[in-house]
Amino acid sequence: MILNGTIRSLATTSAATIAASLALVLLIAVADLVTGYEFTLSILYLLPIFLTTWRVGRGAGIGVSIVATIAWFFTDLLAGHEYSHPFYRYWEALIKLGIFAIFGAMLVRLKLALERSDQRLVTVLERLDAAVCVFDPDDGGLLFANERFRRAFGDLPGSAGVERLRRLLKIDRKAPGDDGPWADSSTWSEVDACEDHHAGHWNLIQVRSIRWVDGRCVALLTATDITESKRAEQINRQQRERLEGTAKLVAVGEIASMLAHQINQPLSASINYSRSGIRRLKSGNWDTGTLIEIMEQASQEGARAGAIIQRVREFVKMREPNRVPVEVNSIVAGTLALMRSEAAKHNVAIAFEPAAGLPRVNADRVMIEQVIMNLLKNGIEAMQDSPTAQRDLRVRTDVNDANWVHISVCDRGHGIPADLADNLFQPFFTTKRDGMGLGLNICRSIVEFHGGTLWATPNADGGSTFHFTLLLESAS
Amino acid sequence: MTTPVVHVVDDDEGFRNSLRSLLESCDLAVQTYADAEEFLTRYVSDRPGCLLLDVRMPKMSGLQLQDELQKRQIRVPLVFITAHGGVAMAVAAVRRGALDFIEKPFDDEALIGLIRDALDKDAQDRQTTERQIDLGARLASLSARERDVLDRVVDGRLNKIIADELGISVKTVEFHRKRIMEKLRARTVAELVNLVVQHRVSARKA
Repeated sequence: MILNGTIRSLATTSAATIAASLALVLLIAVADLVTGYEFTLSILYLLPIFLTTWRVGRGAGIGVSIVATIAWFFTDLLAGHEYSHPFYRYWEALIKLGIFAIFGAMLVRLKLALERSDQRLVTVLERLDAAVCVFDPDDGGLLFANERFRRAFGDLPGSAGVERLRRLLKIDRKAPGDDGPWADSSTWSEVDACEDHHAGHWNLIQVRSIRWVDGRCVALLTATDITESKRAEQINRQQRERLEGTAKLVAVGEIASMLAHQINQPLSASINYSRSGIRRLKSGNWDTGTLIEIMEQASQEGARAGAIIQRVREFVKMREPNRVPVEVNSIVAGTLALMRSEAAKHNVAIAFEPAAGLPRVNADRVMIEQVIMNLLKNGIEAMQDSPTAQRDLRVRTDVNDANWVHISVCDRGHGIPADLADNLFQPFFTTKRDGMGLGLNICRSIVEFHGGTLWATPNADGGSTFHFTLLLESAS
Repeated sequence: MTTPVVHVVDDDEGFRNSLRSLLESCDLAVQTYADAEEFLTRYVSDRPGCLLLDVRMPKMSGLQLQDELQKRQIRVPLVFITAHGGVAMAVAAVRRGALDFIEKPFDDEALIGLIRDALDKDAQDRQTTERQIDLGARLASLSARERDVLDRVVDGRLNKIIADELGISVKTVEFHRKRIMEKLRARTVAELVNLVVQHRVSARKA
């Protein structure tokens, strides 16, 4: 780019350069004539020769060299320089021409070598797989950008582009005396992968400060496209989650099966004893001692079943919730932040309408987050088949009479069929392919533990709203 | 006839004892065993009975015990008791010759019905076995010549032809026939034929 600009500017000025050089040659010739042949100024001819060769080209350089030689020849002649033989004047002119030609040729070589090395650098930068640019962090001027950068980010015209870069890189304007991330040019100040909003690509953006050719301190930025690895990472994560989900499902099935088996034994035994007693009584062939024993056995077996249930209770109790005064709005906002990417993945927009000045509630933060997260997930899943424009989820908080905070999650999905509404909160009831049927049941348990209630209502314009209430701190 | 015994093999003591109480209330004799090994060492086949067997047990499972019984040629009617999730195994057990299975917790009437069926089957099996053993002994008491005559009688040949084939007189054939009828305790020729065919069929089965 720099090279192209140079060539363009040179093309417009080449004619002027030649004219100026010729004028310079004339000037030198006149001066040389005035000073006489003993005080020769012929070395000054190298100046116009240099100008034309460097700025216009080899041909023009040779032309000016010849003109300069001729000018010297006539100056020398007019100045009355006598030689012992007339041939020596021609010889002297030839030597001059030779020196000018050698000088010109060397200049051409030098220029070519410089151009080549510049071109090599630019070619590498242009073909690089990473987007590279150099910009001024103060005024935002773009000093250099390779092809890939221009393609990915556009030309970032003026300071507007740099404002965007600043936002992207979270770079604040330098405070006077503070060189910030630019202070040490040897370290990259890495910025975590920033999203390119135009093409849906993920880029790892790295910036460091370098000294520009004119001595200014500028920023060198490289952006590497890491979309593929991001995508692979995401697929990996999804697979891991699915695996974990399956493992959980298996674990729950295992626990349920084990419990059923454990409780089945004493229960069956208790039934057997009872039936045994009934049979004896019916047959009329019985004695009190045996019957008392049988009934005692039956109650003992019942107690055994009870003990198993007690053990399960104690196991559950070990995870006693930790209730402290918390802000409901901050819990909701925190959970929403966690769910943003999940929602974005399904093109669902979430709107949060928090009530202002909400009093605090006594609750286990993690548990309430679980409830909200579950309701949000359900809402997102319910809208999977809805048109994209309709996919919005509204979360509201408000104070329900004096003692309750009311939280609602409203979706515009498929709604709840009337015949399923009764089973909604039953454990192990699910309409999802890989669901456990425990989500809403657990949610309801959590909310009820906090003294609140969880319920669902259909919306007038489709979809459903899940509500739950939490007791205010002042009321509990 | 000796009273039948219901053998119960279950690793859960409470359940085992409750089953004993229930079955005793129906005037059934009950023997309980904590595991398959105990059953194999303590079981004696001299009394009619049936076996109630838990499918899931530590060490040797109900199905393994079933295999072991078949290997040892102990023929006792089997009823499997299954808990949660054991139905598939119980079905496999029935395919391999168990009489039936019942799921815990069960209806006592259903269980007692099954036990009665099993005991009936055992009684029948024992009767058949006895009869076969008896018939075998009676057949064994025949002399070689009497067996020759019997084979031909069963094939439906006339005395004259039998006499020709064996190179003896018709009178001798008639004498042998009379002895055969006595030894096998058959009143008519039809009964005789029936007995022999029955024996052949059961011999082939074994």
